[in-house]
Amino acid sequence: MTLHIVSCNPQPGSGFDTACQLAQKTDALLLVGNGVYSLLPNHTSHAQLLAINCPIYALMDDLNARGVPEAATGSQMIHYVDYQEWVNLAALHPQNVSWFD
Amino acid sequence: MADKKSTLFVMQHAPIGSRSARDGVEALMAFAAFEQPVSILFVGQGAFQLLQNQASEAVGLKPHSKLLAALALYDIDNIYICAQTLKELGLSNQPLCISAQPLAASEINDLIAEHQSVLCF
Repeated sequence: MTLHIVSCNPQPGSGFDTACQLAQKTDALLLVGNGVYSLLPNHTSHAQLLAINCPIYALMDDLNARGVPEAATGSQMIHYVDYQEWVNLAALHPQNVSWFD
Repeated sequence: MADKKSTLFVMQHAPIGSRSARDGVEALMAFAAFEQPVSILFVGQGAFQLLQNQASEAVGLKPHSKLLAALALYDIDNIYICAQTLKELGLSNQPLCISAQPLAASEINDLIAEHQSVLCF
């Protein structure tokens, strides 16, 4: 029951990699900041993201700010959230682990 | 492994390039100085903190390995490292400045779950 909050750029060897390796079924992964670039369908990290077997959330404001299109993710698995829902997620999970640059 | 009130420090940054590694160890020592139970996990690029013989005076910094060596003075024994990281970063056969117990991903998940709080650096 860990919320992995990923704000780092999704490049090989980054915290994004670690979070994807650790996330298990009962966890959740929240993409914020530059972490949302992994939602680009042709990004090398995108397949890694979709291979995770826990719920994936992404902060809508950070997608919008970066011009990362919501529709282009082509996946039903991503839940788009606002700041209020982030707070709810944080409260729901006993542990929050941040992966940042 | 750790008792319920313990704090886990997750070190995810290389020793040079950002202040994160140093901040993490300093915070860890502050916790230990006040006798708060702590554990430390090196994962991803954080594992580079454990390389021996860091002569970082050459770039104007105190060697991080020497700071880590001081952890023994604070009776910090719960020191872990991600086993997969060791393999991926080519550190398996490198001598490390302090000994750390390698953990598989599932064991790291257990480690996170059994601590009351997790601080990331």
